[in-house]
Amino acid sequence: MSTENRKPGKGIWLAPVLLALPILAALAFAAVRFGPLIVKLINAAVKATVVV
Amino acid sequence: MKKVLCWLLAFLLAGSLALYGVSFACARAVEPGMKEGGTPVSDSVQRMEMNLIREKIEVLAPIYDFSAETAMKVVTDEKIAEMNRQAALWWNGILVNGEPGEVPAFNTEELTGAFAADIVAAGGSDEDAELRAADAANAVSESILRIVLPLRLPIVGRGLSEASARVDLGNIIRFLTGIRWAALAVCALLAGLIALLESRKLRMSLRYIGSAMGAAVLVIAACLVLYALSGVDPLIAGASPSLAAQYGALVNSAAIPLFLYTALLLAGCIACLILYRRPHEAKAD
Repeated sequence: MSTENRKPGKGIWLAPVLLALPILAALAFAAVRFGPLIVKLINAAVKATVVV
Repeated sequence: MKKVLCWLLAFLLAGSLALYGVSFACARAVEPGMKEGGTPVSDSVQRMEMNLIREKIEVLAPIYDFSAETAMKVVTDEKIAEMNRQAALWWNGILVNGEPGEVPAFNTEELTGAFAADIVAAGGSDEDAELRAADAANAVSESILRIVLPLRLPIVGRGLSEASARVDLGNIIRFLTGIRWAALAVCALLAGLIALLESRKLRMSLRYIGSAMGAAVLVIAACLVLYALSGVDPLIAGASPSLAAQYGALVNSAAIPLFLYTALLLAGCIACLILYRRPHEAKAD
């Protein structure tokens, strides 16, 4: 029996999670590494341009 | 080998679908402002602006010695709607040409006349009344501008003109709003490639395309969580309530299509994976 003809198990529902994992890991890394800097920049831009 | 290639294409498809969703939402927020006349302000935002203006006028009234009721008779909904139209044109100038349009201005003549009449009625001299009324009218007009367009306009204008001298801002904004079409074309290409690779058994391609759709849903959800955690909304709300209302309306106009797109992807993922499993289940029965 070839792999393609085997009955797919419930594991197929895990495929989207596994596929998203590298992108989620990259997002998490970017958020931890650059997140605080981006928030600081937005904060500075808001303070400089918005009338309180 | 084919399987590895298909999963690689599915991974790229997931990224492209997520990129399409995010760029589609951003374009939905920005594009109305690029049309002629700019983004019209919603009724709820204008109501909030009117409330803020009323509060500000009540604060200014004892300082400049005028009646808040007199001011509110002149500062009507129609005049604030006109100010909002002018502010929309100001934004439109930035989005289309990279240079702000004409700064909105509230006509102070009517306010000056009304305040002067009040001061004269209270026993003030004509000359004194005119000066005090002009001062009060300018203060009210400035406050209205700060609520309708709560930005330090000279700083923003200077920054934009410096940036425009170096890069074509309008072109960059048009390019960024066009990214979604490139992402959509890449999505179609990748889905087509997956179907082509699995052309002998087309049902197999549903596994990869469905998984990519599901992965894109997870990525978009993660992006939304990161946005919520970034605290941009409270930051803007703390800086200016009127800007927060305008920004909130903008975010809502982007969020609704993004949620619909994400729901569509989720439905597509479930349908593809069920269709992929069904023939096996039918055989098992």
